[in-house]
Formats: sequence, structure tokens, C-alpha cells
Amino acid sequence: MSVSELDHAKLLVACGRGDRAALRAIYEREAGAMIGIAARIVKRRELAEEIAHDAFVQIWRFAARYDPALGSGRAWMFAIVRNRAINALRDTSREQATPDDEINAAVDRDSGAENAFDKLAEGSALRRCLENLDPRRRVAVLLAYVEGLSHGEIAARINVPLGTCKSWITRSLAQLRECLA
Amino acid sequence: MTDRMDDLSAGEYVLGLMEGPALAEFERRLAHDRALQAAVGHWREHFSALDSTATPARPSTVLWNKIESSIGRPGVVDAAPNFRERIWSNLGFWRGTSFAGAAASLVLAVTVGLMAGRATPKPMIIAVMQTGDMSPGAIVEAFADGSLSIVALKDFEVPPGRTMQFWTLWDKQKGPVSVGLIDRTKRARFQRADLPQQNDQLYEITLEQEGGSPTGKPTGPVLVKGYATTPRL
Repeated sequence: MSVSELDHAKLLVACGRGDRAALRAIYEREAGAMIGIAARIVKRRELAEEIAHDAFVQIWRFAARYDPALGSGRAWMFAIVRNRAINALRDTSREQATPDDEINAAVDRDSGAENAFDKLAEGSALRRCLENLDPRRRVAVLLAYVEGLSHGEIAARINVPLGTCKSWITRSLAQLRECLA
Repeated sequence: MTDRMDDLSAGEYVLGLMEGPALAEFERRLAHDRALQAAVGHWREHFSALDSTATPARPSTVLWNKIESSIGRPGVVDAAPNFRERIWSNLGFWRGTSFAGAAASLVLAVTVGLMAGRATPKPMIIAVMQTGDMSPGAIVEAFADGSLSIVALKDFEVPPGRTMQFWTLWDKQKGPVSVGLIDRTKRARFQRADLPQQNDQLYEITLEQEGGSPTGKPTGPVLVKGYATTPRL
């Protein structure tokens, strides 16, 4: 665990005790990253910032539940951001997509899943294991995590039937599980 | 150690691909299954390498102020996970932390009523019940004839064998009193002229076993809660 990871865990423990300065310290370090993570999913800057706001409120309220034995503080906080962003995405995708949204989505396509893979640190376990996957299956997994797409949306994006998409992802997870063990 | 199926489910959960009843069931198990929690933690840790590839954005200058006002007054410890004890044992505490959110949501509550075009009598009181993350979850309106209605503002997951139960509390000594069970509709109505309707009365919905709480007091998780306010319009 790196020094900064220890700091995150400490700051979360302090938040759990009601220390607002600790939340502010997390904000200073991670607010930008959180907006960036949410923006890859919801594609809209203002909405991404709202999600970051809600995530901070949730982090504050539930910091006492964070258990360092189950993972790093950063991964815990980012999971909250992703969950909220994915919920927002599912809510808005039920509404009619406006032409503007379509344009934004097309523009952002390049900065999404594939790009994230290219930027993964060389030598990270995840990169090594994702490299072992068939490229189209890898993209399916990345579209889920990075862009928050559902099974159906991924199937449409990579142009395979829904059942195929689901089984690709399950098999990819099984392969990743072996590789990351 | 988790078995293979659980591990794959945990992976699917972390990817954000689980939905509907499967998600509700997984989260129910996750709440108390240590091995499953570890499996989720393991996937999160690895996949979070991808979080670091997002291009950070500069937060707007007002974001921190908004967060600060959302988390309540300075000096109020507002992070303990044990909701239930706090609500029922310390009303003043809860009132303080949720006041801003409830006031903001009140406008919404009134608007919802107007938009529905109901030429109904004006409610005596309205309560905006909020979820654990302080977003509006449902509205209670109580009328002079003793009727109460709940309008859901979001979908609530009710696992098989469970039911939603609606409670109110106006006297700490007496404790929470059941108003009734809520079926899975978006709207629920009750006729309870025997219950008071006063400002600052607490309303909440919990998830209970089918047929309602066996003890007559809330036993399950709180879905939403909120204080009654007299409408100003």
C-alpha cells in the first residue's frame, strides 16, 4: 500500500468521526478525478459535477463503514462515484436521447473505453490480463467499467446479439479471475 | 474463499452490469457476507487502475461550498452508520442535518401536487421523505379528514417475502406507530383519523417481512424518512 493510500484510509476514518477537514483534504486530492470518472460515464460535464457532489455527501455519511481490510480508500470512493454515475445514466437513458446527446456521445467515443485501456499503466496486472483477452471481448468489459454501459448497450455498440455479449463478458471475467489471482 | 460463481457475480457487480432483482439479491447478501465483500474488494482494487486513466476535470468554484452545505452544520457528527438508533433516539439531531434538503424539496412536493392537477383539499401537512443519501424518495400528504397519501418519487426494490411498512412518530415516549403496509404501487392511501398530524412529526418507510413487522415496531432497514411541515402556499 502506497503512502497516499494510507492517507486516504486515514482521511476516511477521520470523516467517519465527523472531521470536515478530512473531507476537504479528500476533495482537494480527488474531486477532479471523480468528475473525470463520472464524465466518462454520463458524458455531460455539469451532470458529472453533480454526481461528484452527491458522491462526497455519501462518502461523508458512510465513511464509518469503510473497511480498510476490504480494499483501498480510493477504490471505495471511486466505486461510489461510478455507482452514482451509472444510476444517473440508466435514469436518463430511459428518457428520449436528444440530438445533442448523440453528438456528445459520438465525440466522446474516442476518449472512452479503448483510450482508457491505452492509458493503463504498463506492467499493471489489469493491463497484462486484459491484453490476454480477445480484443472485442476486452472492449466489451471496458465499455461496462469505463463508460458504464449495460449489457444491451454494449451488445448494440459492438454489434453482437445480447446473449453473445453476456457470455463474452462472463467468460472474460472468468479469464480475468484466473489471471488476476 | 468465495466459490467461482460468487466471484464472477462480484466481477459483474463491480463492472456495474447487475440490475433489477439480481442486483437487489446480491446487495442483500453483500451486506453480511464477508467472503463476498472480499471478492468485490478484490475486483474493485484491480479495476480501479482504470479510474486513474480518466482525465481529471477542474471542479467549479462553488462545488465545495455546495458539498459543505449538503453535509450539514459544522460540529454535527453525521457519519455513523446506525441510522435507526439515531432517528428514534435523537430527533433534534436528525432535524438539523436534513433541514436544508427538506426545505429545498418542499417546493418540489408542492409542484408535484399541482402538476397532477388534483383539485383536492389542501394538505394539513406535507413531509418529504428522503433516502439515506438525502435525495427525495417519497412525499407524504396528510389531510384534515385523517387521510394520508404517499407518492413515490423513485422505484423501491422490494425483495420477495418483504413488504414496505409506513410509520410515524410524534411522541418519543410512545415510539413509532405503524400507519400501514404499502403495496408495490407508486401511490398509497391510508385512512387514519386516529393519528395526529402535526408539524415536525416524523414519517418513515422501512422494509419488513411480509405481513408487517412482527414486533409492532420497525425492525428492518429504513428506506426513506422525513419530517412533516405545514405547507406555506
